[in-house]
Order: sequence, then structure tokens, then C-alpha cells
Amino acid sequence: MSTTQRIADTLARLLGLPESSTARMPRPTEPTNVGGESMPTYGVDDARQVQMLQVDHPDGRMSRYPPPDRWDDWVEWESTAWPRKVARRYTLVPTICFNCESGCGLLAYVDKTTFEIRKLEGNPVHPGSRGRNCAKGPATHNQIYDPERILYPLKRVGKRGEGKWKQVTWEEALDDISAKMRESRKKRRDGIMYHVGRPGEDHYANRCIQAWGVDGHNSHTNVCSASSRTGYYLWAGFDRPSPDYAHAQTILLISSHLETGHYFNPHAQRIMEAKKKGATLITMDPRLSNTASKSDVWLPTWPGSEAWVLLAIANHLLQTDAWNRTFVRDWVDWRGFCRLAPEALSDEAVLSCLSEGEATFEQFEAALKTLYAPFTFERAAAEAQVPVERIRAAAEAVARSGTRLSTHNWRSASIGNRGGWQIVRALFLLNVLTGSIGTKGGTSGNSWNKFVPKPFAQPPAVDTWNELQLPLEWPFAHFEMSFLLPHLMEEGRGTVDVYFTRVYNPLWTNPDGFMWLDKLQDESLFGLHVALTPTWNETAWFADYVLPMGHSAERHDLMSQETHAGQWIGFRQPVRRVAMERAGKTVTHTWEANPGEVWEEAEFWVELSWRMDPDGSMGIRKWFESPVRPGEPISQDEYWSWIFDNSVPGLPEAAAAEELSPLAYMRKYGAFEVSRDRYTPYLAEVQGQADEQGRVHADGKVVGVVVDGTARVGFNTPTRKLELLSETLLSWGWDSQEHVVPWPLKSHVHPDHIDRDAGAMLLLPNFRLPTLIHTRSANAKWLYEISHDNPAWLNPVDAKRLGVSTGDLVRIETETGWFVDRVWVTEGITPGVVAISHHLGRWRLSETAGVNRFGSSLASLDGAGSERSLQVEHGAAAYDSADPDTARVWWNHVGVHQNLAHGVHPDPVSGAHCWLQRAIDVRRATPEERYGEVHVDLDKSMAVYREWKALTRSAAEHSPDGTRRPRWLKRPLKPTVAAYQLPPADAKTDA
Amino acid sequence: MIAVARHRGYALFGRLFAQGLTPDVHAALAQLPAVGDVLPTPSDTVAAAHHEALSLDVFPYASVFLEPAGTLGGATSAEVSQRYAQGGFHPSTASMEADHLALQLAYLAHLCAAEAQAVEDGVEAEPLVVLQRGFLGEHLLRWLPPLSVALTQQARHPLLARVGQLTLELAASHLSELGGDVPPTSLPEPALSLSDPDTRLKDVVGYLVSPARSGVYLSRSGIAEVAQQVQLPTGFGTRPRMLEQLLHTASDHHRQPELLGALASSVSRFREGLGAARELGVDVDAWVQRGSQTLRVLDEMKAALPG
Repeated sequence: MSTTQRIADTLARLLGLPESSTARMPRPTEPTNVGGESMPTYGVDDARQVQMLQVDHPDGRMSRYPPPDRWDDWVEWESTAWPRKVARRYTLVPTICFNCESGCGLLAYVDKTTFEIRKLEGNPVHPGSRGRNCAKGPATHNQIYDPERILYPLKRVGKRGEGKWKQVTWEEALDDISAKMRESRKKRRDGIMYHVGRPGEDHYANRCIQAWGVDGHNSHTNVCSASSRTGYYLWAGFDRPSPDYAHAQTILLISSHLETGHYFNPHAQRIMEAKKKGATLITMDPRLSNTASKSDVWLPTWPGSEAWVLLAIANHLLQTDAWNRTFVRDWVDWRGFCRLAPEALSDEAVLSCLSEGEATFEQFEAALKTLYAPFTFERAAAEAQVPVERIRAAAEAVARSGTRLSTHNWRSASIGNRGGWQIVRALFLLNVLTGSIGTKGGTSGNSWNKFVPKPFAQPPAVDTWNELQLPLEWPFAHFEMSFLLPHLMEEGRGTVDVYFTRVYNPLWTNPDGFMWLDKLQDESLFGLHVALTPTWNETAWFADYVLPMGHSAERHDLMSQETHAGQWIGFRQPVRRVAMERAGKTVTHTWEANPGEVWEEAEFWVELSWRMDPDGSMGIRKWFESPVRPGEPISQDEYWSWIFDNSVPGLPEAAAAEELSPLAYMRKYGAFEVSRDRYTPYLAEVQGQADEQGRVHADGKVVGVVVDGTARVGFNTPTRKLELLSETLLSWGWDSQEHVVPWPLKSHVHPDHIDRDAGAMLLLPNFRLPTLIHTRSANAKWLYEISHDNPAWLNPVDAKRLGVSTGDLVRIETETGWFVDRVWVTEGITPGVVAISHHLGRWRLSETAGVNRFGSSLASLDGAGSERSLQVEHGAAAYDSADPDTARVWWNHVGVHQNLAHGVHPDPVSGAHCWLQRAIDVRRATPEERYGEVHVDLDKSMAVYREWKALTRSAAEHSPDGTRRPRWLKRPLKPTVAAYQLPPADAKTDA
Repeated sequence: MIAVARHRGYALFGRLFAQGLTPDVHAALAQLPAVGDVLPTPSDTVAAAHHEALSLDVFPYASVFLEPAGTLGGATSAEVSQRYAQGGFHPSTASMEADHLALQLAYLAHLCAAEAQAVEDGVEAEPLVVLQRGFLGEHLLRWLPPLSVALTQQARHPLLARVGQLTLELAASHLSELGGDVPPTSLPEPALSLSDPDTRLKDVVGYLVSPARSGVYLSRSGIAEVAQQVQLPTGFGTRPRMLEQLLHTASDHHRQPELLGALASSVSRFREGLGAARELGVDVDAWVQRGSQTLRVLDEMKAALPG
């Protein structure tokens, strides 16, 4: 065919074609609201040149953010359309991330045409996160548009756990639940329980519980931070540290803060700032974490031996006179130490340093040096199984840090070991000795750097005590013995009428999950179980109601965290709602802007409480009335307006400077810096009368302490000073030297308890993966694509001994059962330790419902007598959904649910579950043993529980004053003084 | 009727260059035997190849071929916009510059559709014909021949190469049928003097990567192919960076004669490729002369090598 013919033919055929059309992007004119149902679409705007403006920051960090004055109307090119230039117009709404506890700022790009969320990036004006986020923040978008999220209220039909649900109206759910709450409240004050995993806010829900007049707050703290909190609280009356990393000379971590932990993103960026300025980083971790790999000194200590190393460093400070005598003289209750030593200490050499009568500081100094003299580098090295040179290097780095020593412990050793709270006491001793408390570069108390505003009216303390939450055996528990709920029920100690689980998945998260499974199915124990959750989880499968709640960009909450030496509040807000309001639309309730029928809890609690007390006769309704519209339920705008108008110093002034109301200011910026460079609130002066011990009294309370002739606030302990020797422990039965002063306690996984020659190992399950979020990540496919498996880390020495290599299956036997996992052979774990992250191993019981299919295995449950088992049918697989990405799932293994086979280990003092397990036998799996299967004997579960319970010292036998618990210890919601009294049968007869 | 056919042809080819092989473009092209043997099924791979061909290898912008700097924008782009305005064509330039081939074809489609409408309405169509003739002769066909050769020789995309050739044939026959005088193609002066002591390697590179000056279009793939022929690392980056690095590397490995020879072969092949346009009656003399000039430059460079 010639060229001419070809053109002629082509033209002729073109005439036969239908008229070409110009494909255009649809431009919806109304809100589309497709979260969970399909992928969002966005409007196309007229072309307009967009320049990202340079935003300069003093520390030279990343500086290209949309400036706040342009947030109302921001145009930028659509990245996925590149190289075409497609302009989109957004309104940028700040909110707060909810994918861990840090409370980092997010900035939602809400399309101005469709009101769909295009992406979430960092909020540059947030004082804690300063515009930066980890992978989990942007993944919020995934969760909002998760095709498997729950969009409508569901009610169980059939038996619990049968997996049959019907959609109900919110009216029906609210009426039914509130009626049952009313019925329970009229009978008792311990029948309603709110069991929260991640609160994500600081007061709202607690205020509701208090308004109901029940002792019903239950938390996840005892599987998380209880041990650490106990250690800090006994020292200083605050329960978490707040290191000023950015200015530290030496940073000592028993954690992995460069990749995970509280508060990873804000802390990691400040640790790196210090590193850039030459700080020394010391990390204690049996695992070569990312943090350990970036450290100057890595101490792969045998788990539980940390206190030995820390006290060896303390001894080095004392013996080399590298300690801060002035600080210790002023702020440590050394007189109390000298007074109580004869009763508490057993070391005659120490006691011989102290004269009878009033001791001098010099005598105390001699006693202190004598007390810790046995903690040599060599002894510590032997206990910890690390080279002595590294301990020396760490000690020298601590010694030269002076008052610029930042320390932290989160999870890790404290929550791993029996006596973990003493590891924290030993850690904080280094801050005490160096005087690095409340100093620049030092370590402060969390309460100094966290700001919780007060609401407009606070219900009174409840006059009751729920023994299912705080039983007498654990008077120092910090806080509720949440993970023992099924074990306590098994002992017949009580029932719950209405049980709320919120961002909480105890069946999967807690140890001994089969115990939870059994009890959750028993309607005589849990009368009504309401799961408040945005997405399916294992526990919700066994609930009676599953009520869909908003993700972080779909709700109101107020948060603050101790991320640095300052105070801030962050305002989580429903970004679609705010965007629609900015566009002039009226939104009365957040559910109007959320997908499907997803509510936010803040509005849910108001509506539920209102119905619980329909005529106000129970005294509940009044706490939920609008302060400006009497007789009407309070709106979210009213609630937060009152707080921002009245409870946040400086906010009204800052807002006025921009001609905004305080609420409008918070809606615009999403965060407010209350104070900065806040180091020494304990030095604030107070007025009052001093007693003979120097404590200052006012209005019937101890409000301070006299130091060098000046009355100051001091610390929140009974002595208002730092308590090296705890009189509280001494008087409540923990009266030996190893308990009353910082001292190593022998862990349940001490080498003496791990018979390695017989094949036993230490199972280390308590480490996070940087991109996962405990029980909440399985609805974020972006995160699961990064991390989806939890293999068993084995040192090559152990792998060789067992005859396994990477990818082989091993059977790990625990005290209560066994499970099968794959092996990952690595030098990054201490020999003798098998490490498996607790983040993975999600499962579902239905092929098409339950936990997201890209993040869970299809499993089956079985059991007879006391035996229980879980079998994995298959792992994750690709599937079609509204989200095309789900068809691209390429991974299969999604981990092993090891927690099922963990026995409960309640520490006898702190009440914390001691996560480290004794792996009684680790061996190559047989061909019949399959990946992911778990077997447990519940009789063994209860035996382990009883073994640990026997270690306790009950308030019934040891309370010195007829109370259940030292009143100065913290509780999220403290009941009345009267409620602290032991019940008559348990009260000591000599009281 | 022929105006309608041209309208559809230009629109279809323009959409292929702009959007790639979308399902509707594929369905239309499937009706054309002229492309049937090189028409793949739409897929992610095909989309990626489209992106690679037009966004990484051969940039289908008039300014790239006609401006001395060989970069986007400049007088060429302004001139095109002016012609669009004259024809009542106001495209969105949000997603591509005005002188992109796809928009130029869309403009011609617009003019042809208007012509067909005018004929149907019984109104004067001659002004539209004048605009078509001017655009084809004074603009599009000045740079479409080297673009077509570049797509054929310097990109790895048979469909785009075929449609590029088909577009050239359509435009050439269109202009031929419209008749009238067409001014000869002119190109800017090459302005490269090897005898000037201030001439540096980067000046040589700037000359070679500017089609208007060297008469040849060297794409990334084309440069990599030359490198592979003489067994030198292909390098990466922009076209100038790749070529400069290649010349340096040849020096390091004492393979300048081989490299210059391979470049000369590439230029010769490109020059020969222009013959197809000449057969269609399109004036490509200026491009051929530039190619010959470049062969002389390469010869001079080779002669200047030590030893």
C-alpha cells in the first residue's frame, strides 16, 4: 500500500468512527463522603501556578509547608497525575494523629469540591511533632477509606461469636444500651465498665464515667507502663519521665525511642538534634534495635539484669565523687532514709555509718556509698552478660553529663520483668545523683510538661470501689488489674452488667487470650458487651453491639503529651466537618460529616448519658447539659469553647491577637503552646505553715517543703522530696532492703530460671515494630505492606544448636501451651533469647468479615475440657474491593498470635503483667505442626495466675491504716476517702 | 467529509500522544489497519512505555526541536499560542505546554471540525483553510519530520513511532491538498566553532543535544545505545549530562575514536531517516544540512584527537 493509499484508507476509516469525546474529570458539587465505600474522587481546579512558600524555622529543619495563612484555600498539583498538571483546591484542616500515643499534629488536605480527604501530612505549628510524622500518620488516610471499615451500628444475632450481625439504628442501640446502664446503676455502682486501650484524650471519657457515679474506668496500663509508672511514682510523685533530649549531653535509654515508644516521633527528632550536637547515646536492649544500632554504647543486657548495670553506674558516680551533693542534700529525703534505715536495711556496714539520733548528711553520704559499693562493673558485667568495658564507657558518659542526663524507660525492661519497677528506680537514681532533674538537657516529670485543662463542671468522686479492677492483693497496682479480669471472674469475684471496649482488643492484646475468649462468651459474666471501634477486631467479634466510631480525622479530642520541656495542647477534630463548616454548610453533629453512620464518641457519650437519665432524677443528665442552653444537651462547639475560653492560659489572648475566638483559633491551628522552657515547677514558692519535718501545710493539705529556708512546692510525694527509701513500701509490707531502696530484684527470667542446657530460652515478645500500632494497624494496608510478619529472632548460636535456619518452623513451648513460628536467624539478638514482636498475628473467623483480609489469617478455634487451640487456615491474600490496592496484596504470612500462649504474670507490687516468658522448650517443628497454630491448657493458665498471685502482699493483711491502697498513689479517677476503707471483713483488727 | 476525517484523525492521534493508549483510543486505533500490527493491548506496561517514550526520551514539543537551546518555552511556544488564539482555540495548558504535539494536533482537529461545520452551514470556510495551511506549513511541518524520525529511531515504542509517521503523512497530504506557497524551513545558526579556544566540551554537548543546531535528536535511549555500541557505561541523568559523561568516559578509556564514530553513525542514520518526509514533499533540506554539518564537526573532533 502506497503512502497515499494508506492515508486515504485511514481517513476513510476515521469517518466510520463515532465522534470522539473529551474525557473530563467529574466535578461533584455536593459532599461525596465515600469513606469505607469507595475510593474518593477530587475536583479539578482551574490551572493556577502554585508556589510552595519557604517557611523558616530556627532549628533549620524541613521547611516547605503551606503557611497557615493559606490553609483556607490551598491549590497544588495532583502528584499522581504527573507529568500532567492537574490542579486541586483544598482547605487544610489540622487534627491529631491517633495511630500511637504521641499525639502528633496532622494536616488534612480536604478537597473543596468533594470534601474528601486527599492526604494527611504534618502540622508545622504543632509544638511536639513540629510538622514531622512517621509512616503511621499519613496512613490515617488508609484507615478512613478502608473498604472493610464498619460504617453502621451492628447488633449480634445468634450466639456470641457466631458471627451473625444485623444492622440497627443508632436510636435502637442507644435506647437499649442506656436502659441497661440505668438498670445496672440503680442496682450497683460497679456494674458498668469502660475498658479503654488507647484513650487518645485526657479527660472527656473519664468525666463521663464519673458522672455516671460508677467505679468503672479500666485501662490497658497494666500491660503497658504500670511497672515503670510505679518506679517513678515512688521516687517523685509523677509517673513518667519527660527527658529534655534536645539539650542532653548523655542520653540513656532502656527503650528504642529512635523508632518506637512513647513518644517516638517527637522524641526521636530531639534525640537526633542532641546527637548532631555531640551527645552520647547509650541503649540497653538485648535486641539490636534501630536505636541500638545508632547508639554510641549498646548494652545487650540479659533481660532483668538492667538494675545491676544502672547501680554499677550509680556506684561509679558515688565512688568518684561525680555526683551532685548539693542537689541530693536539698531534694532527697536523706533524713527519712537515715531515720528508717535501721528498720528497712539489712546491711550492717551501712547501718554502722549512721549514728543514733539525728544523722548528718556526711553520715548519709557514707551510708550511701557503702550501700551501693557492691555494685562493681565486674559484677554488673557478669549479671548482664555484657563486656565490662562497655559498662565503664556508659558510666563515664553518665558521669561527664553532669545535669544534662536524659533518661527514659518505656516498656522493655520495666514491663518485661518481675520487679521491673525497681529497674526504673535504679535508672532514676542516676538522675537524682547527677542532679539532672528539671534541668536543661536533664529529665523532668511528665506532669510538668503535660497540660490538661479543666472542663466546665466536674462530677464528684464516686463513693465506691470496684474490686474487679483493683483487688486487695495489689494495693500498689498502677493502675487497674485489667488483664486479670477473666481470671478474677473465674474465681467468682464479680460480673459486669455493661462492658464497653474502646480501642481495646483484650482477647488479642492481653496475655492468656483464651481465658478472655471463654469469659466474653459467658453472658452471665458480661451482661452486655458494646465494642466501640472503627474497625473489626477479635474481641468485637464476641460483642453484642459493634458501634462504628470515627478515626482520628473524624472526631473531637483534646490531647497533651510530655514531648519536651514545654506544654502544649493538640485539638483532634473531624476534618470533613470543619471543612464543610468553612464552606458555609451547617453541621450539627459530626456524624453528618462522617462516612456511613459513623459517630464520634464525644457526641455518643452525651447522647447515651442523656438517655440513661431521661428525667434527670439520677443526677447524671446535668453533667451533660449545655452551659449556655439550659435543659439541652451540650454540643461539641460549646464544650470545647468553654475549655478554650476558660481553662487554657494564654489561648484567649493569642486568639484575640488574630481576631479569632479561642475555639476558632484551635480549629485553625490545631495546637497551642501553653508554655516553653518549663523545667523547675518544683521550685515554685508556696505559702503555709511548716511542720517539724519541714513540710508546708495549707488548707489542711501538704503543699510544699522548706528547703534552705524557703517554702517550695517540691515533689508530689508524702515528704514532698525525692524518696530514696520508700516509707510507703516499708509500711505496706514490702519492708526488705531489696524493695525499699533502688535495688535489683530477681526477675522471673533470671538465668537461674532458664535452663538453657535443657533447651529452655527466654521469650521476648514486648517490642514494637516502627510502622505498626498494636491492635489497630491491620486496617492500614500501606503499613502492612511494610511490616506484616513476626518471625522468631534467633541468634546463629541457638539456630545451630536447634538445627534450623531462616524460614524453618520452630515450636515454642511456654508455661501454658505452645505455638509455631518461622525462624529469622540474626546476630541482632542475644544468645539464649528468642524475640517475637507482639504486633502481629491477627486472625478472623470468617472468610469475608472480621479483621481486614490483608492483615489477618483465616483461623478456626477448637477446644475441649481445658484445652484450647487456634489453627490457621490460610494467611492474607489479594481480593477485590472498592480499593484497587487490595487486589495487589502480595504477602501471605501475617504473623503468629503468640499472646494466646502467654501465662499472666502480675507483678506483686506494680500489678504489671511481666511480659517476658520462659520458653520451656524450643525445637524444630514436626511436619504435622503448622505455622501459626497455638495450643493452650487453661488449667495451666490458672495455675500460673495462682503462682503469681501467691507472691502478693494483700492490703487485707498489710494495710497499715485500714485502707485498700496508699491514697497518695495515683488512680485515673480517685474515689472518695471513704471508699478507700477496707471492707469490714478485711480490716485489720488493730486499726 | 474529508475535513471530518481529518478532524477525527488529528483528534485521535493527539489523544494518543496526550493520554496514552486508553481503552477508547485503543478501540479507535484498532479500526486502522495502518497501526494494527503494532497495537498492543492497554496495560500498565504499555502506559509505562508511553511515559518513558514521551517524558524521558523524546520530548514532543516544538520548542525542543526548533529553539537553539533545545529546551521548552521561548519564542516558539509564544508563536504557537498566538496561532491558537487566531483560530479561536483556547486549550487548558494546565497539563501540558502549548507547543506539545498533542495540543497542536488538537488545534488542527479544531480547525478541521470548524471547516466541516462551516461547509455544512454554508458559510465561508476559506479563512479556516488559510489557518490550516499556515499552521501546517509555517509551523508543524517544520519540526514534525525530525520528531517522527526521533520517535522511530530514538524511542522504544513501535506504536508511537508508527503513529508519528502516520501523523506526518496525514499532515503532509493535508498541506499538499490545501496547496499554496510554503516558505522553506529555516533553522537557527549552529554557532559552534571548534577552532575557538574558548569552546569547551559542554559547548559541544550543547550543540549535539540541540536538534535545531545539530540536525539530530539524541534521546537518553539513543545515547545509551551509542554507549553500548562502544562498550562504555551508559550513565544517567539529563541528555546533556549523559552525553558529557559519555565523552569524558570515552576519554578515560581511550575510546574517543570509537565513540565519535558511533555518534556519526547515529547522525547519518537520523539524516537518512528524514528522507521519508522528503518523499512526502516536505522540505527537510535545512535539517539534512544540519546533519551534514554535524558529521563534519565529529570528523574534526576525531581528527583533533592525539595520535
